[in-house]
Amino acid sequence: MQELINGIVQGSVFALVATGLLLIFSIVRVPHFAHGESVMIGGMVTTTLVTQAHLPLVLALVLGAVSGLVLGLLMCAGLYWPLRHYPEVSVLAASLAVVLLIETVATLIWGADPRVTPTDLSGALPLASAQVQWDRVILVAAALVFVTATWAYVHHTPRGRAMRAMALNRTAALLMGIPVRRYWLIAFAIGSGLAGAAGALYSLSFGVSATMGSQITLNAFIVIVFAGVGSIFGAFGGGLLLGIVQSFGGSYISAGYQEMFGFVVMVVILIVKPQGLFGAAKTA
Amino acid sequence: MLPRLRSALPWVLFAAVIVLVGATGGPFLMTVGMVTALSIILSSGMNVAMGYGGLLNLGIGAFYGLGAYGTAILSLHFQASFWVILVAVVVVAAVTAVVLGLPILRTRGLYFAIATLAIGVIGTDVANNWVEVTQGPIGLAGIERPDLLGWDLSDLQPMYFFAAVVAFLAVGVVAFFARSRYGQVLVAVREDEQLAQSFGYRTLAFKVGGFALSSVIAAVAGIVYAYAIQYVSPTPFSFLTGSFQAFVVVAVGGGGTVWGPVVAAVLLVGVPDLLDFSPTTNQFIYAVALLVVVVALRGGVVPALRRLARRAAPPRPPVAAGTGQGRSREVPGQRVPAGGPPTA
Amino acid sequence: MATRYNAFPKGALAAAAAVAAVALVAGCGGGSSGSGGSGETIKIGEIDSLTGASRTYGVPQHNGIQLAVDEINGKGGVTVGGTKYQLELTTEDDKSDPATGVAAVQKLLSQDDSHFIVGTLSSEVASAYIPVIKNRDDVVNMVVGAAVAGITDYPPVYRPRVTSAQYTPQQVDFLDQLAKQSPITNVGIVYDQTHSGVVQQLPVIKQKLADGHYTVAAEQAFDLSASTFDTQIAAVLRGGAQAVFFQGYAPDAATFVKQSRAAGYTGPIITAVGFTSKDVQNANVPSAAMNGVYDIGAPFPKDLVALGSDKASAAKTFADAYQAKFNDEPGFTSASAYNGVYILAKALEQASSPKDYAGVKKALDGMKTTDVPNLAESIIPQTAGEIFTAHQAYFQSAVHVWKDNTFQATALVG
Repeated sequence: MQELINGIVQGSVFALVATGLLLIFSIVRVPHFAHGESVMIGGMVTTTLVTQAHLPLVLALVLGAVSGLVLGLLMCAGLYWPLRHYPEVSVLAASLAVVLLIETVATLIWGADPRVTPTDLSGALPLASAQVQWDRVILVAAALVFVTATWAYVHHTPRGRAMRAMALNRTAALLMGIPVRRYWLIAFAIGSGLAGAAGALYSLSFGVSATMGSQITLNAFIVIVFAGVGSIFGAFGGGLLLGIVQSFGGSYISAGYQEMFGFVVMVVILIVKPQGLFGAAKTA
Repeated sequence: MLPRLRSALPWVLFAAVIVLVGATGGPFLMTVGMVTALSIILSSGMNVAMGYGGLLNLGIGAFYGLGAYGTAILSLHFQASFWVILVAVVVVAAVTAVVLGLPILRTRGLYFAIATLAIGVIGTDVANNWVEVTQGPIGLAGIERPDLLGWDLSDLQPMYFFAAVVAFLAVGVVAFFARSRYGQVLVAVREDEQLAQSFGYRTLAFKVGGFALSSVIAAVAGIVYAYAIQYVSPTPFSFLTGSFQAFVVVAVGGGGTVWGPVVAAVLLVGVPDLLDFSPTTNQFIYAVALLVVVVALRGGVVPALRRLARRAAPPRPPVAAGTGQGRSREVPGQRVPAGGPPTA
Repeated sequence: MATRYNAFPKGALAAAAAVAAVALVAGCGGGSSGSGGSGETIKIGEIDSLTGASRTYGVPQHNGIQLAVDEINGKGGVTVGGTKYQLELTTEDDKSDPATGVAAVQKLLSQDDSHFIVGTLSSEVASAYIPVIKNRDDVVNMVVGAAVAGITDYPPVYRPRVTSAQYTPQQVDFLDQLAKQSPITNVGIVYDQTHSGVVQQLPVIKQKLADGHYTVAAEQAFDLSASTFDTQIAAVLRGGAQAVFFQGYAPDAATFVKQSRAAGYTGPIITAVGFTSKDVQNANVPSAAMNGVYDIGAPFPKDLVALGSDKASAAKTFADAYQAKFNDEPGFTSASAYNGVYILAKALEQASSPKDYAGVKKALDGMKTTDVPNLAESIIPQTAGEIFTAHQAYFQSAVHVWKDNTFQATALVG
C-alpha cells in the first residue's frame, strides 16, 4: 500500500512534467531536452525565495512556477524559434548544450547539494494501512488540477482547438493562417509553467538540486513514449504508471535497478504497441 | 587522377598526424592522442547509425561498456588473448545488437532514441549493481596490455599507436561502408523509408545491419579503452559521459560525413585537454562553444567547411547519381524523422 | 566504382588540414616540457575532481591543499639539502572521469615535471591512474581522498586519509552499545551504490552483523544525490528494521533522515558521513527528526577543540585560516588534504635534494605524528609513533550525537 502511494506521488510529478512536455512536443515538434531545467529552476527558486528572501510559501511557489515558465519562453524565443529550420539533430544538440550551460550556472549559484523548501506542514493523511504526508497530498491534488485545467484549455477553448489542429496537421494549420509563432509561445508557456509548478511543489517534499533536470527530462520522455503522443490524460496515466512501476520494482526487487524498471516496461510496451499505450492506432 | 589524389589526401594527413604525435610527442600528448582516438572510434560507430542511418542511438555507451567490461573480465579471469577477446566481443556485441535491434527498430525517430536510451541506462545499472562480476563502482583494475604477434603494447608509445591505428581503421570502415551499396541503401532508407521499400528493399534488415555495425565499432572502442586505461568502471559508459559525448561529437562534426567525427573529436576532446582553462570556466566554455558551433555551423563543421570550399571554388559538373537515392555529394545535415503519431 | 562520386571534396581537405594544424601546434606545446624542478621551486602536482560527480568533495579538498601550500610558502618554503625552495602548485582537474585523470597525471609527470602528486578524491580516477605511476620510483603520490582499498600496496602511494574500512567496525560496535539499551535484532542497510568505498565495505558490514547475530531487514541501494528515498524507506519499514545503517554522503543522509522520519520510522539511524548542521539545514530536516541520528567518523576541527584533544589548537588554527581564506567552514575532505601537504613538505626537508625520491619515501615511512606539529586531525600513532603503517594512516573517530540543534562529538574512539 505504501508502495502504491509512493508510486502515485512520484508518478504525479512525472505526469505533470510529461504533460507539459507533451504539449510542447506535439505543437512544436522539437526535442526539448531542456524541459527538466524548468523543473529545476522552479524548485530552486522556490527554495531560495523561502529560505533567503523569507517570502510567504504560496508566493514563493507561484514565483517558482513563473520562473520555470519564463525559462521556457526564453528558450522558445531565443533558441527553438530561430533554429526552426535547422535539422532536428542540430536542435537536439543545441538543447543539450543549453542543459549543460544551465546546470553549470545553477551549480555555481546554488552548489551541488540537494535542498528542500521548509514548510510548516506536518502530519499525514491516514489512508488504509499507509499514511500520506500533507505536502504530498497537495502535490498529487495540484497535479490533478493542473492537468485537468490544461485538458480543458486544449479541448474547450478556440486557442486550444487551434493548437490541436496544429498538432494534427501543421501545413494545413499554417495555410489556414494560424499564427505559428504565437502558438509556439503559448505551448512553451503552458508546458514550462507546468514544469516550473512541478518543481516548486516537488521541493516541498523532496530534494531539488542544480543537476536534477536531465533525469527528470528522461523520465518525461519515457512517459510520452510509453503513453504515446496520444492525449493529455494518456500522459497523466503514463506518469502514474511509471511512478508505480519504479516504486514497486525498487522496493520489492532492488532499488539499485529502479531506473531500469521503467525503461524495461517502456521497451516491452513499444514492442507490443509501437505507437504507445494510449497512442492512436495508425502511425504517422 | 586529381580526384583520386584529393580523396587520398585526408588519409595521408590523418596518418601523418598519428605518426607525428607518436614520434615526437611526450607522454602527455600521446595520452591525449589515445583518449582522442577512443573518441574517434566511438563516434565513428555513432556516425554509422546516427549519420548514415538517421538512427539516434543514445545507448551506444552500453556497447562501449560491453567491450570494455568484456575485455576486463576475459583478460583478468580467463587470461584470454587479444584475439580471443576481439572475436568474443565482436560476436557478443553483434548478436546483442541484432536481438535488441529487431524489436526496437520497429520504432522511429524520437521513439527509437528513447528506446536506445533505455539500453544505455540498463547497461549502467548492471555495471553498478552486478557487483559479483563488475565490482560495481569499485571497478575492475589490473588489466594487462596485450602482446600482438610480438608487438608488446605495455608501454605508452605502442599503446598509443595501437589506439590510433584502430581509430584509423574505424574511420576506414565507415568510409568503406559509406561507399558500399549497403551503406547507400541505408542512406536511402534514412531519407525516405517508404520509397526504399517500394524499390523492394527490406528496410528493417538494412537498419538492423547499420545498428549492429554501429554497436560493434563502439564495442571495439571499449576493448581499446580497457587496454589503454587498464581500469574499467561504470562512469565512462554512462549516458552523459559515453553516449552523449559521442552524439555531440557527431552532431558538431557533421553526421553522415566520414571526417566529421574525426575533426570534432580532435576539437572537443583533444584540444580542451591541451589548453589550460580553469576547471570552472572550462565547462562553461564547452557548453557555449557547443551552442555556437551548432547554431553557426548548421549541420556540423565538415558540411560547413564544404559549403565554404564550394563557394570559393568554381562549380564542377554534377556527379552521376548512383543507386542510393539520398546519396548526394553533400549530405544536407542528417535528419531524424520526428516520428510518432500527432496528438489526437 | 571509386570515381562514381567524390567522397572527399575540398571541405574535408580543409578539415583535415585544420586537424593537422591543431595537432602540430599541440605537438610543439607537448615537446616543450623539460627542465623544471631545479632552481628555487619544487613542483607539487595536484590532481583533483573539481568538476563532475565528485566536485562537492573535490573542491574543499583542493582548498585544503591550496591553503597548506600558501602557508608553507608564506613561512619561507621548505629547506632541502641546505637550499630554500618555494612550493609551486599545479592543479589539474580530472572531471571525476578516469580517462581524463590518466591524461592529467601524464601531464603532471611529463609536461609540468611534477613528481610529487597530491590527490585525488575520486576512487575511480585513482584506480585508473595507478597503472601509470605504480612502477615508477621517481613519483610520490599522497592520496588524500580516494578510499578504494589496495592502492597503498604500490610503492609511490601514501594515504594520510581515513578509509571507510576504519569506521565500519566502529559502526557495528556502536550498534552493540545501542542494543544494550533497547533490544535491536533487525537492521536495515541503505547504501550509495555509486560510492566505491561504501560498496567495498558492504560485505564487511553484513559479516559483522551476522557475527553479532543481527538479521538484515532490508538492503537497499540508491544513487548519489537522490531526491527521494521513498522506495528504500518502504522496504526498510516492511522489513521491520529496528536500526538503519546509512552508508553514503551527508546531503543524502539528511534527505533520508527527513523522509524516513516523516514516513514513520523512529529507530536509530547510524551514519558515517561527516554530517554537519549545514546538511541538515539544506534538507530542511526538523530538529526533532534528527534525534536518534548518530554519525561516526573522523572528527571535524571543532570537535577536536570541543573534546580537548591534543590536536585542538592545531585544528583551530587550521579552521580559522580556512575560514579566513575561503569564507567557509572546512569541508569533510579539507583537513586531510591540508595535512597531506604538510606531511609531504616535512618529508622533503629530510631528503637530500628535490629529486631524492627514495629519501622522501624513506622519510615518510619513518615519520612520526609528532614530527608534524600542525596536523589538523587526530592521527593514531602507529608502531614507534609513526604516521603510516604500510603507507596508510589511521584516525581516531568521534561519535556525533544530535543535541541542541547541532551535532556534538561525544568521545574519540579508536
